[in-house]
Amino acid sequence: MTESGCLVYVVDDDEAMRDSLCFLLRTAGHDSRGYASAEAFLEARRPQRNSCMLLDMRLPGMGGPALQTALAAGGERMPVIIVTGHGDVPMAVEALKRGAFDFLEKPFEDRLLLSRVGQALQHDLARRECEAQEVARRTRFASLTAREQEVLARVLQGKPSRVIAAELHVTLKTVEFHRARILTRLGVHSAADLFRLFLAPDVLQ
Amino acid sequence: MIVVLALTASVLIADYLTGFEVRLSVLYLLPVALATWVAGLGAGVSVSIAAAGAWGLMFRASHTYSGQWILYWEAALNIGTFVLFALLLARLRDALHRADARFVTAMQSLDAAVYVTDARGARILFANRRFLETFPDAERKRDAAPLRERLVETRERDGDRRSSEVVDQDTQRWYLLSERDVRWVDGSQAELHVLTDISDSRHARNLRRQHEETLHRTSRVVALAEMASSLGHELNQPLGAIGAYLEACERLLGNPQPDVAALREVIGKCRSQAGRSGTILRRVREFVARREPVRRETDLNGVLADVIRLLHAEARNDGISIELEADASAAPAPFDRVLLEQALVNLLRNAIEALAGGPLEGRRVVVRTQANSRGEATVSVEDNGTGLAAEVAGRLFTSFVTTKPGGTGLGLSICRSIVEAHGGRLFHEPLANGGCAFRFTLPGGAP
Repeated sequence: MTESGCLVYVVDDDEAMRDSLCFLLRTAGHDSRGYASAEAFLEARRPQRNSCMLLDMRLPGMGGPALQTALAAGGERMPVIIVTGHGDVPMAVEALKRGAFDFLEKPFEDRLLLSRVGQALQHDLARRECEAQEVARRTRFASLTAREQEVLARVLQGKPSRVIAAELHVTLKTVEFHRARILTRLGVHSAADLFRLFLAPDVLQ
Repeated sequence: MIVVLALTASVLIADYLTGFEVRLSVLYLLPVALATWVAGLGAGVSVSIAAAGAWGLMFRASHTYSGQWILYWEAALNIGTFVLFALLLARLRDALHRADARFVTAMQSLDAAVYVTDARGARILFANRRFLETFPDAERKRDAAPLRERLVETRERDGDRRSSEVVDQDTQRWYLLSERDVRWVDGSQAELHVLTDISDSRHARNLRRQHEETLHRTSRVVALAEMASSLGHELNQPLGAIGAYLEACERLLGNPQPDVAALREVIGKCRSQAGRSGTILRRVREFVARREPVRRETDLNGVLADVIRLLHAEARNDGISIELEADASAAPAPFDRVLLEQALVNLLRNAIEALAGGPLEGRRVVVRTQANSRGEATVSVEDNGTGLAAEVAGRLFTSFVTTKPGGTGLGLSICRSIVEAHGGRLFHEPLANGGCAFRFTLPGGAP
């Protein structure tokens, strides 16, 4: 069994189903954890890892759809693959509308399951990297002084130094000075790098 | 009028000739009665006065009283008697007339067609308006024979109640025909017939029955679908698990050094999941079969008679007669009575439904038992319908194949299971008359 750092949560009330899926996922190289109910899953401590979830819609207690809603409300953005019984297509459609990554109808092809799980993990990994970059950007931005942040915001709006100087009621020389400081502090070499770094739309708010 | 005058005159002359010695004046009542009965009270009174006047004049011409007043007294007495007689007679005549009118009005305004025939049922003695409207020809000829041909009885009579359902061949309307013996006005024996149109209520009844049948069938289909669906859900789990385990095994085997212990464990899990599937299926079978046959000494012919009694009303409603041709030598044998009844009900219902779609005339189902020397009995259910299409005949016993809207396609499979559980065989045979027969054998004695 290889340790790839991926974790798949299996939430299914049927013990055999849960056990077999976990086993299959482990042979495919994914770490897996099984939960018999939505409540058990919510109570468990979850490591921050590249992960996805196989969720059976028919669960005792709060049930699959409610768990999906609870996860979204808690800010959990891990991809959820819905597993439904035969004929539960309307339920699956609802789940997709709530943001499920995909759905599989029982009985499913195991290879299909594995490939979907692979895709979901890939998706999660990409999302996590994206989020990590986002966090890094925010820390860097926060490391600037208030005046530097003002200047940077205007630079990113594409305003020339002269306009920025007029707006901030400082001399052109001061603006040039701030720009140079920003570049060194953020460890970038040019204004183009700045744009690349801060192209995320929400950072300037 | 002439008769009245002649009568009066002849009494007068007779009176005169006998010299009024014999009291003939009472005979004036004859013309008075005649006039009153034929022409009414006015004419009666007129004749009374005329007769009394004529008598007075004639008497006076031939006799003399000691006092004039005696003559007047006698004349007044005559007039009084005559007029009183005329009055009473007129009242009687009116009363009779009114009674007759009441009877006729009631008969004419009846919604039912009423007619009276003589005791042999050949000649129509009376018919009300509704009858004349419905059967104009019959009244014109006063002959009941064509009517008998036109109204065809579809049900046998209910014991002594002397009522039956008939259908009018010309208009295809249904009537309830009630008959009763009456003494006719001339004292002869006659038959009163009342025809009530029941086409609409019959139609409504049929619709209701069909509706109930559909409901019943739909609920059966829904229950079956529900069972199939939950069965699918239940089987999904172990089958899905087995699939996942096997896929995992395949992956393990892909390693250069497969983990034999893990493989062994997974195969064990697969086996237990296969066992779980088997348990689910067994539970379903128990639910469907519900129970093993409970065999008791059962009289086959008795079972047949009971089932026919059960379906009698249903069949009669469709104008179908069910006949039992029982072989008395069919000895009682250990059968499960309830299961056998179920199988027979299914077969008979099929026959009834096969006939209900065809022509109305002569619908007939024959249920027959035949025993052979080995004690084996054969039960046949034969109908004289239009038979089965070849492609239907080929798939008769296939479950879930049905030709009936709302049918489950299980009836014949159930029959076959029941017959086979008794060690017999169920088969289908087309008949020479175009109908079809379902026969099954039942071994006699110990199973």
